Amino acid sequence: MHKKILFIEDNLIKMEAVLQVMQLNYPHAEITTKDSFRSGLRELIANQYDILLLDMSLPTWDREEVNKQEGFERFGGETIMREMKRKNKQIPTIVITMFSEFGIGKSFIDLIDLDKHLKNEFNEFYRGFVKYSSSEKKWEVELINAFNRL
Amino acid sequence: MTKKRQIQLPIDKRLYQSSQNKFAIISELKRLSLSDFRKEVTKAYKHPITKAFILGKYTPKSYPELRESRASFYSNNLEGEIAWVLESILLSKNEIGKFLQYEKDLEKQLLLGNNHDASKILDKIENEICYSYWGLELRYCLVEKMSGTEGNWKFANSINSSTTNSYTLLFNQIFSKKSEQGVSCTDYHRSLNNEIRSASHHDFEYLNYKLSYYLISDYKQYPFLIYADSLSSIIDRYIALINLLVELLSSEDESYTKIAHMVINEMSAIDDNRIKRLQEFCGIKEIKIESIQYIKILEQYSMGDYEKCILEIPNILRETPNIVELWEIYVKSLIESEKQFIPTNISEYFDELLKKLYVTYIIENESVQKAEELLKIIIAAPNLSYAKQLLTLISSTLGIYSNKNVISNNLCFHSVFPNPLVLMQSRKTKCESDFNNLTTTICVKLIAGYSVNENQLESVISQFKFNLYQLRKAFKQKNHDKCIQVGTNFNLDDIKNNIFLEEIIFILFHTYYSTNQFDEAIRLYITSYFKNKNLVKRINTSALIETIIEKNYPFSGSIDSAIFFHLNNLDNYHCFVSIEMWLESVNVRKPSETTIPINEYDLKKYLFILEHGCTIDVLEKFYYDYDSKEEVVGERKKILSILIQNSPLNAEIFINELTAITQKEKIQSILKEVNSGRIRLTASMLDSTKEINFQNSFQRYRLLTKFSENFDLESYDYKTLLKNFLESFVDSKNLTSNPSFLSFKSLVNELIDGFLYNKKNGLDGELSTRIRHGEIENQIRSVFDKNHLISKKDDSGNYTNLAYWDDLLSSNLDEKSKNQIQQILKEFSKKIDSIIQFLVSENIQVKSENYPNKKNGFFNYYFTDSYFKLLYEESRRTHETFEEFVEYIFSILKAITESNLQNVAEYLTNTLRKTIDEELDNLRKSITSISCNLIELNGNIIDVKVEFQNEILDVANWFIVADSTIETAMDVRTIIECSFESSNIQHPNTIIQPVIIADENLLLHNYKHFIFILINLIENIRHHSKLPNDKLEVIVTVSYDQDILRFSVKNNFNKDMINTSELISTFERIKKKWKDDVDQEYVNKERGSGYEKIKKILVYDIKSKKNAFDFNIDGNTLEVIFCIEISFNYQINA
Repeated sequence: MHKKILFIEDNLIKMEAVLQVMQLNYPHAEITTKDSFRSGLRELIANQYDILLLDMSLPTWDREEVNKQEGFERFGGETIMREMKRKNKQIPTIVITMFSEFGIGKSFIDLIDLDKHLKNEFNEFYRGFVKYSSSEKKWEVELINAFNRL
Repeated sequence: MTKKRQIQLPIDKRLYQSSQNKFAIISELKRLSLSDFRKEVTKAYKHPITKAFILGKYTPKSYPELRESRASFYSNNLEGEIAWVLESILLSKNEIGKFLQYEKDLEKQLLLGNNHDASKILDKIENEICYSYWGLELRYCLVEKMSGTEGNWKFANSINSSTTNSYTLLFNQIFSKKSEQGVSCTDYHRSLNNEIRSASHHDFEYLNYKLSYYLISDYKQYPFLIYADSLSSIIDRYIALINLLVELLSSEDESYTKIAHMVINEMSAIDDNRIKRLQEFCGIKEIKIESIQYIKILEQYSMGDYEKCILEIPNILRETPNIVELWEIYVKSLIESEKQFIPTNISEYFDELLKKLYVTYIIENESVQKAEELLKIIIAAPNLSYAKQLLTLISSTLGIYSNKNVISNNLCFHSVFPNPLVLMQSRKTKCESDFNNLTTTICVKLIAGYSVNENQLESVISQFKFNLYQLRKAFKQKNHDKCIQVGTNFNLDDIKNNIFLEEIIFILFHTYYSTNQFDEAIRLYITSYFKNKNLVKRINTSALIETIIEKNYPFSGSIDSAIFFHLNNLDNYHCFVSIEMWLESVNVRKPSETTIPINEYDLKKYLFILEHGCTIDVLEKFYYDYDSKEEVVGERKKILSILIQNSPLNAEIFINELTAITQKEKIQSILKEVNSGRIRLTASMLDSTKEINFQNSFQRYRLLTKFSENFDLESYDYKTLLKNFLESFVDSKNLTSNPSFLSFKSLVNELIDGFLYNKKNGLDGELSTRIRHGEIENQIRSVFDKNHLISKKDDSGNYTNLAYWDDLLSSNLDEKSKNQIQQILKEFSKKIDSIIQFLVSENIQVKSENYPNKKNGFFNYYFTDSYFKLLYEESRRTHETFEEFVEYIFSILKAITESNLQNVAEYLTNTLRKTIDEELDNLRKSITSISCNLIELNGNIIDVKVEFQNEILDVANWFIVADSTIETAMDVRTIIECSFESSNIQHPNTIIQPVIIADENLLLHNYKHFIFILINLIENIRHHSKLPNDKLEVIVTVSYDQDILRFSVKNNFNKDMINTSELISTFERIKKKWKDDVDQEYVNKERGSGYEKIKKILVYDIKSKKNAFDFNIDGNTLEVIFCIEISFNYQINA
């Protein structure tokens, strides 16, 4: 399967783990990675991709531009999807996250509700989530399954 | 809805014969329908106990006796619960009749401000009929008016110490607080919500229903709402039943209106205006003219004879002040006649009330404030008819509404005389012909969609009003085409009466929205907003915005839509989208690239969106246009420069922002260099305290503190009261505490919540995004992973074999031992994962009084009462001002956080490290017990021990505060840089780069004042040096020695154009005058070289008692020198 995939992820350990699974199972896939919300969004809007793998919480700026103390988009993945909808750049998207809960206080939401919300908002291109855990292998199968369903 | 139950024997026989609990037998009747209940209860009366049970303690003779009735079981059957209460009311007709008489008088005296007389009437009600919560609530209203807040607290104290009933204690506390003059409605709502939010949905609804009806728009738990009051006095039961009937009749559910109809029929013998109005609503009774005088006013108003209304209404209200419709007509007539408010001279209090209504109705800047003041009057006596009606009148100004129109229906339900508006609310209402033929009635019928003779009506009322009624009718019928046709025919600029203008705008906006004309809706909104922002206050824009977002922004981008999104508090992302669409429509990418409009109105909008819309937070969302935070800040600086040039009146605000940005940049860069910590603590975490409500709460706390010093007050913790109330009357002894302390506690808890959970930079968010978010798990696990000591779970949640060891183990061990080793590693993996999991989900968590769930959280802000008391003792003695108080609490929270962070770091480097060490030792032992030859595996275990120690030290470094005092003071170099930058932005073509000679360790508080001094000096240099900027050389030198701050500004000047001897004499004069007092008049004038202003800043703002001015003129250079003694005002950074 020769597909152009964009992977937006800031956690290097998770990024490497996902890339390993992808390369093993889809050796012909062409994967571009971006490690911040902004660089990822720009890459996505400026170029043609077939599939988007997306983290939910992302730093606003690239690593090299600022230190980690500046800007974090707690629902950055969702904002990227909003921009995809607004700019009519709707490609199949899988969210890969390490967390089952997001936000704090009133903006708190768990993964199940977030999934429902994303399905409702971005039904045209959101294809579900994969719950990553460095202590489990289950996510690998889930990712492959999600990928195969596209 | 009703559940019939088979009863073997007639109830009277069962009561006599059965050994069953008689109360239970009678309570069982509540399962029946209303009519069955009445039939059965008649039989049950043959046993004398029935009446006693149904009445309970219906006429308590003191406050402690309230709710001493025995509680019947809760049936959840609406008809049965109503029947129970109705029965007790029908059994007490005499008491009710007497109460209604007194109630009218009491209402009148209250409105006239005759508090003493009102109090006497209340005494009579309590002595001759009974005590009630209705009476207790009014008692507070009166005590507060007559004896002030201190009297209120004393009264509260007396009730608190005389009863242990949880319901009474809770309501007593709340009644007392809401009556306090210093407690605004907003304070009351915030405090109430804070106290009762933990109640179940059921109870939360009941408490709101009783205490702040308008905060919930749709009540549903009708059986419970009536049941909960069935234990109270007969007065409370009667009021509860009337309120419920209003709910039921307003509902469109036929089954509810049917029940209400039956009950009203049963109550027809009670002489109460409210019952008459309900009967008219249902069509049980025809509407007739009850008061000629009243009707005459309605007619005069309908036909536009406002002068007569103004003249005659005071005469009627003098006798019957509670005809609220006439209040409305009076103020509207004044507005229609373009008159200022004219007092009626009925009483000072009454005129104050009418004036508030007048200001509310003129829809100007103070309207909302006055409506809130009226709401405060309403909540003091919410069950009196005038309060219910007044709420209707101000509801639109405050954006209050109820889904079932209860609030608007109350105007008619509580009216002294029949109001023709009832025809708008009910199709069942019938009128006698005289009433039917009134012009007012015909107007109402026209709007309500009845067929009327429009030509005849047009001939007797003004064309404007006729058109307005047509518009209302079309809107009511959802005839959008007609709405737009009629609405757009009005020339909005010509309408002087804001009440009507606002209504037309409201209708047109909603019509545009309903017909998907988004651009028109937004244009109308923005035009109206810039005409008078109060005109759009009532418009609920949320549905329109939701549709716009859902439909992917189906409007043309414009400055109006950008402003619209900003005004409606959309988040930064949506504001960005709307601004980006506007910029695209004018073919630019950045706000600073737009062309400045020439037209005054367009310029106003342009400057508005630049100032308020294009903030750094919004600009950060311009994902495609700025590559770094610095670029975003740069864009804001450009915008500020445009604003400074085009909005000179607000230039100071923009300069302030500019300096703040510069300072922040400086701080950011300092932070990047010096801090490795991930947790930031800044005073802005308590920004919510800037809200006036907090300041009001603080004032209340201070008053209570002073008061408590003189009186031994008793009060109760709301949360404990609520708990007891919900748990049904637990012994409440030992709960007493000082109300000042409780007020302090509640205030501090709110501040803690803000500190921990505010969206922008709350500590929990910081922990979540900077630490909990995956980083720590990955970081710790990676050490084990690298050394192949930790495995992963498969689909079923079982740990898998570590394949890495398979070959190595096979060469040394048999199959059984190999499996054993793999099993040991799996167990080890499980342990390590559970340690990490616990650390993230339980330890690195915050706990506080309002969010106590994370019991093992390291960030503990759950203060014990003893600790609160310590803080309270300290605070009440020392903190006179709100600022001091907030600063104090922040310092406490900061100290606690620093201590918490230290504990976490210590936990990680000691406890966790040891735990992991032990686990590694155990692993090693377990492996050795199988085989001693697994050298590589053992080696890896040792490696992990060392690596983990290093890794955990790195992780521990995350738990350090990243920022401390920098925000409160600024180093002198930054001050100088900020000053020049501010000046340079105002003069972008003549940028001055100074040479700065200053001690970088010197930090100055009140830095803003120094910036203003420097800006003055820089302006002097620009204007008087007569040199182009590229030839200008400026040197600023600052030093500090022995309490004297010395700063000098030296610049060259054009010697050919400046007469040096004149310059010397000018500065000699300044130096001589420097010793005189500040010439305030001179300072206030925009002229001269600014030295008087500098002196004023030094004397008044910096509060320097000793300061000196000097100068040196040498060749072509001028140096001005200031020496300031400011020992209290600086700080040397160690």
